[in-house]
Amino acid sequence: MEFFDPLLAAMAPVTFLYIVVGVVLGIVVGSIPGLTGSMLIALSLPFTFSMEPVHAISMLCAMYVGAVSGSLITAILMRMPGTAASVMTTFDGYPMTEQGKAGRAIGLSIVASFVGGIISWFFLVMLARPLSIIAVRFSPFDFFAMIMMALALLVVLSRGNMIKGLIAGFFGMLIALPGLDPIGGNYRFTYGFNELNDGFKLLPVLVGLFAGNQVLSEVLRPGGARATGGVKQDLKGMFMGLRDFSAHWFGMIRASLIGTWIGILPGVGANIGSAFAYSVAKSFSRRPQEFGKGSEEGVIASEAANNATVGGALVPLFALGIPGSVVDAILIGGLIIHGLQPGPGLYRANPEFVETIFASVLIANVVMLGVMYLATGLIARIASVPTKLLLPGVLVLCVIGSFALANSWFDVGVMLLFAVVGFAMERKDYPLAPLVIGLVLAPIAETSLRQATMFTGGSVWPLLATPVPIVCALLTAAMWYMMFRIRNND
Amino acid sequence: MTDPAPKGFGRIFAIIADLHVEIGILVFCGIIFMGTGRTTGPVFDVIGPDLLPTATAGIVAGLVLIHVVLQVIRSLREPLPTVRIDPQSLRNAVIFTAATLLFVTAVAQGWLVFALATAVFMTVTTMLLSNRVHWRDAAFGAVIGLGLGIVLQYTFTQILFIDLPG
Repeated sequence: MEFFDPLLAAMAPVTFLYIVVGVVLGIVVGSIPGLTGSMLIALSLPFTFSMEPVHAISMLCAMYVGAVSGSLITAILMRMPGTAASVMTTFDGYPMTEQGKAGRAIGLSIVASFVGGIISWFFLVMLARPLSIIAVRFSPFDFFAMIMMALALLVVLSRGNMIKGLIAGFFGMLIALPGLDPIGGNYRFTYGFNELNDGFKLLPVLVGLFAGNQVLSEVLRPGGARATGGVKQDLKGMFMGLRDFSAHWFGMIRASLIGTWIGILPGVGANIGSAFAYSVAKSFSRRPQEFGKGSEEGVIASEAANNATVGGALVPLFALGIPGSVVDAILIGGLIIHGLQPGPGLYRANPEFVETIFASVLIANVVMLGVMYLATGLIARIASVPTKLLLPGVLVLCVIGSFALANSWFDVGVMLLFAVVGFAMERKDYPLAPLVIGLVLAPIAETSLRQATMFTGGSVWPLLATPVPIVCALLTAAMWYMMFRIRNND
Repeated sequence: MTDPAPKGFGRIFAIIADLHVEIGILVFCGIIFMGTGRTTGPVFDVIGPDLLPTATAGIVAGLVLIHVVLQVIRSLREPLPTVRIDPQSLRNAVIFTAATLLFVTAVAQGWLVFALATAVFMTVTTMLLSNRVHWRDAAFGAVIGLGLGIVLQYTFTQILFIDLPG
């Protein structure tokens, strides 16, 4: 792989500008409790319609990097993580703030985030291309098996009731199936409604599930939408010295590797990566009693891991077309909107595009480092803006973004419907991640299975007797067993 | 906020109400089952267009029924206290939802241009979420709403070349 050509392409003025805009927006939105990176990326999709694909996807990936990083600000300063990725950071970051070490906590977190992002970027570059080359040889049965594995892993690794996770995952698949039959070309389950000929379009469903649902949650919050209040913290001591590096380099690298691996697992996101890395850091720490009371190791583990999941999650996305996280599922929507077919063929057919995106991720991490160091104080003040002023604007964006897709008010109705569906399901502790992954992967799964059975005349024997499905089944079984043991011990 | 668990028919209604998500999912599965067999696929497509949707609906329905049975058994053994939603939050949600539907309808039917409808919507909802009727909140919502509406209208129609209503 050429290194400098994609880097130069990503540093072209327009592309670089989109990356900076994406990182800044991601950091700001990620830092505001009640708004999430998923919401920002889903809402940004309509704005990318007229952009060049490389600009659009670069900006969306930069938002991803920024959002995961930005959430540490309010997690540390206000004990309110901007996104779920920084929940573990609050455990030690906020106690450090209470001890007058807010600046140090933020400084350590920023560097850990940067290191995690760079290490996972390295694995992204090293793994994506070979994996995509191997994946081109996969049969449709192999893809079907991998998709089922992605769903199964997501269910077992998500928090909460596993039956609810399975219901959510298969329900997501079910939502994707009405509309145009991808093989036969006839309409099915539309009952004569022309508006359903394209099924429930991905964008309005995603906007409704993530943005509309979030608005409803905030409106229904007891006491009204949250008001974070002003931040008056002294942020001295943000810059790390060599002594800090020598004390924490091993922890950063370990957490980054854990986050990268968790990110590569299809369907699993930053919150699980940071939780896992935090647990490992505590287990191996010489001072485990300090965890939860202001341990620097805890802050570093959480932030290095959650940023590492970003690069890790992009590996299956670009190599296999399988989203590594919920945000990647939204990125798949972005690729499709811009006429790019996700899958192993994407890298093969568009190597310059994919490598430029990888370079953009690298640049986004560097920009993130600079923006966070320079503007943390300002961002913390922005994050204090009462949500009551933001929620109506977010909803307007949801409406107009859904309408803009196809000039259809039906899509707006779908968005509102799924805002209610997402809200109701989350209140009943149904995880939305399996639903979204099922929604995105169902068309691929169905097409793969039907194509495969056309080749074999209806036999599904290859699903049981070829290497890839067997490995997928064994890996799934191993992860289920491991997580079952962990849940029982908990 | 919680109340003591209801008894008798009240308990049954409470259990059913608690299963609103599951009932909704089962209804959707039923709709899929009703549509089975109405579409044909190519002769060489062994599975056909209906098998996967039907099988998926069957799996979902089966899992939901298992969950419902477990939930009902749990509720009958250890009745869950009724959880009440904060009345003010519920009021806000109802008004917010109504305002949203009115906003969408007003723009879709052409009663108001997009920028003006946005201004009205944000005025109402900002005051609602502030939990008070104050001219300052109304003015703030109106100004931000009008500005947002104009900016979005311009951005979509002149920069992104996407038609917007009004």
